[in-house]
Amino acid sequence: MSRIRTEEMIINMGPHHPSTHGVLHLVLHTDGEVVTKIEPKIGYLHRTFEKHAENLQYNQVVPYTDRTDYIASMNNNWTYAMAVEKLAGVEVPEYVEYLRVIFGELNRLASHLLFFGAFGLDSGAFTPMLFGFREREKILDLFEMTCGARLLYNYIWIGGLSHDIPPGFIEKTYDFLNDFYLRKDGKDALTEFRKLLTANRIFIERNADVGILTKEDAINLGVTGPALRATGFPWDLRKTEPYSIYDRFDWEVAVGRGEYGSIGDNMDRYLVRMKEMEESAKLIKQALDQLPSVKKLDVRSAVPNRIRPPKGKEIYFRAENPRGELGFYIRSDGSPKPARLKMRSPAFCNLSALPAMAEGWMLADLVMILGSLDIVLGEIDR
Amino acid sequence: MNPKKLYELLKKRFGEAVISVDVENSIPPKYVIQPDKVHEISEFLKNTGDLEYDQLMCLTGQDLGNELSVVLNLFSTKHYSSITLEAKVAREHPELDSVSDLYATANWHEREAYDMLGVVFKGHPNMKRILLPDDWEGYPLRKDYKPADAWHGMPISKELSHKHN
Amino acid sequence: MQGIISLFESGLGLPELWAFVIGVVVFSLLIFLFIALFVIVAVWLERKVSAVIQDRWGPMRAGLTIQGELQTIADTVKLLMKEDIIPKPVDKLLFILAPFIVFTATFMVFAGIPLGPNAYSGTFDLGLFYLIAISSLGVIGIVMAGWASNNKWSLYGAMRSVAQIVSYEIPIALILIAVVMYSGSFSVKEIIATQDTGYGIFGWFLFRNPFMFVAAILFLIAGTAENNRTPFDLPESESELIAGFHTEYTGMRFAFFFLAEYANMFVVGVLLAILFLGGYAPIWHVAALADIPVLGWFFGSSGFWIILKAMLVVIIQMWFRWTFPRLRVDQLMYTAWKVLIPFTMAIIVLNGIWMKLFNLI
Repeated sequence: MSRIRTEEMIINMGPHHPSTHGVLHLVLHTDGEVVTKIEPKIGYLHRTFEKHAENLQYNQVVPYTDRTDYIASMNNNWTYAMAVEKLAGVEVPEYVEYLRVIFGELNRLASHLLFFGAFGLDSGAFTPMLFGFREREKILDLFEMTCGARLLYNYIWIGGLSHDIPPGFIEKTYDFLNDFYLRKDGKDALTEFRKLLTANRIFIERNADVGILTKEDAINLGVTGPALRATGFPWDLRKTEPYSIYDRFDWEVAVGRGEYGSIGDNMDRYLVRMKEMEESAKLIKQALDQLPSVKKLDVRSAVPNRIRPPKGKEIYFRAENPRGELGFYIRSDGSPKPARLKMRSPAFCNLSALPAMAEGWMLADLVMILGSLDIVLGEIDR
Repeated sequence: MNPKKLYELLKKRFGEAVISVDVENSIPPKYVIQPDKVHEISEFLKNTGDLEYDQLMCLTGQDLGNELSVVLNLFSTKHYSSITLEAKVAREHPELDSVSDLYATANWHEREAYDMLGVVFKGHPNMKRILLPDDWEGYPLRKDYKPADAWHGMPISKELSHKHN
Repeated sequence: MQGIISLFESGLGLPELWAFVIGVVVFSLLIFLFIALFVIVAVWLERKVSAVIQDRWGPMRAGLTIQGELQTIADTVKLLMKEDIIPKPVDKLLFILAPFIVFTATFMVFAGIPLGPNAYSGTFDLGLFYLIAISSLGVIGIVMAGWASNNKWSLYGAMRSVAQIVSYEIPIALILIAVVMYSGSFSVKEIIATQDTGYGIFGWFLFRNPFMFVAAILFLIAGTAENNRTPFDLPESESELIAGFHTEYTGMRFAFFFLAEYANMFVVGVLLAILFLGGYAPIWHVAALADIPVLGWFFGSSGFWIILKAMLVVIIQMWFRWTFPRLRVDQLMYTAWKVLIPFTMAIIVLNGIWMKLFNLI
């Protein structure tokens, strides 16, 4: 009898696959169920953001930043606005800073809620998706009543905001926070999430000890955000390089503790995000509590008419986005348009770490590891 | 370490390879270096005791008009300090050493710089286009880029969609 | 079925052979009708159950009331009208055959299921064997579908399916032995008769001893794995394999897979009802009811009780689906070989000791 010949199978995952979170194309080499090699292919959603930016005035770039990471548009607007403000020396009023924190954190919550849903879906549980969306919907309603948009806000402008908060916003936000984590009768959303997914034995088995990433590897691979914090490294730019007014609030950086397996596994990345949701909610509550004591003014009062940063000035500014560090490298040539604008997107770097994390794991694990990185393809391809 | 001191240190170590330091106009401070020494200087910055720039935050290629440049934004997670390195390369043969063996994250960033500006990184394990198709012609982020008429029979619009300036 | 055949033979005066043929056809159609009806109800129910679990309404528009009960019929019509796409590179014969084999296997199981003391197609002395043997034939169709599709994802689904169904057959068969130890017979009728002691639910094998209770739970787990539902839906796991073995199927061919899946849920429900919940025996015999013409028949010998019990199990399976994540392949195998099989073996031994202790043998 001749020997049975075996060989690796090359299989295309994507660009249309339910769990690549967009148009990502992974070329997998598989040995049975085990994935031996992963080659990510990106660019299907490339919309020449950087080329566009070079041909637009500084303030006209803001709507384009919305469309990169469309799950956390507020944070994108905000980081870009901060980068330009720092470059051009624009002062931002305190009232605007408070609103920015509120909206930035609300969007972070919305993004993590989507992660919760999508991660549940990746693991085969459908219901978390709906639970996550239920809460996210309330946040989107808040955004809608403020700026009219539900996904792409163009809300945070350079030096200000597009609209002030409408009447009733504060009450509605308090209502949301109450349902989300404040009420102590065990029916708040966070407790529900814990009961539904975090405490599920199958879910723990699927995620504990899977896709372990060490701190050194994470830093070397440029992994940032929750995935970096899950390695036990308390690195959160809001705390370590406080920007805006984050130093005024009392909150903790969520880090991975390896509660169910080893530090830096899938479960840690999930738990860090779950913890971050709570911390974000705390931040929103504190900002709302302090808001009445801040002098109210026109949110567009500090918006500059024409932005012309000095010639030759350049900046690399980064801020903590839901997915990690969003960085903008901007170089000015003295004209009202940036000479070069490079967006260092967190998901781009996090995805580049996927082969290092997922090779040698099973196909099902690959899906979970990819899910735990929480990528948005709009941001990777820009 | 403050920028002036670091500049002196680098100057002492690498001599002519370190051209200048710019503190006023660049956040974080920028050191302009020779392209053929990028790898050595990065290695020094990464492995020297009280510097330890262990994170490559960003790697950008850009078109300065008469020449191209590559900008590296380094950060030290141990000393909370960040610097910018800039290496200017000629337009005709834009080549410099890859730092992807030092910083794994540089792998994709360098591919992107190659894809967009045509900067070739020597020693890169996979120097291919990343966002654009492999057979795309030209480097779109160069200021003199003119797109081809069509790609595989699909017409390419040359008009920028926005005309408001 | 004998009743129907004799009805044609004596009632209409047909020759024996014709009566037999027509009787079989009519009976098959009845079963098909039953399956179709059940699936329509079950799909609607599934959507409603999932809606309740997920804090939403589910289908609300199509239908006579406001609960969208005609939604599935509309969906079925849509499936029927869809274009039948057979991709070019498929192995055509196998591709076309596969859904029918899957469905036929499920369909044949129904031949061995009694709905009431007098409502069955035939009595087998080894009825349980028949049920288990036939129900696992479906895997052949699944492998054919996966192979013929010429799609690597489908192939993955098929491979997983084989490994899964072959593995989970064993605990199921072992649990059958535990049941047969009590009933002393492989005949479905006998098993139900043994449970119909006159003490209502206390006669059920479920409550005979603590081990049988565990056995019922294990059977439910293994049964869920047999029909590829969450948390054991690896062969068609959406987030990994897109749709597994039926990725390339559309329209009516897909509908057959769908039909088979839901019918299989019912089969697991019915099997659990027969083995542990007293089958078609009522929860409690009410002597007074038996004499009332319609009610007596309804609660006595129609399929009411067994369908009710089976539906209960079906709803439990739906509940599983909408709350659990999915296992990984190695965990699936681990569960079958290292958890379920040792446990079922222990149950057989403990059952024996229990029966010896209480002099039931």
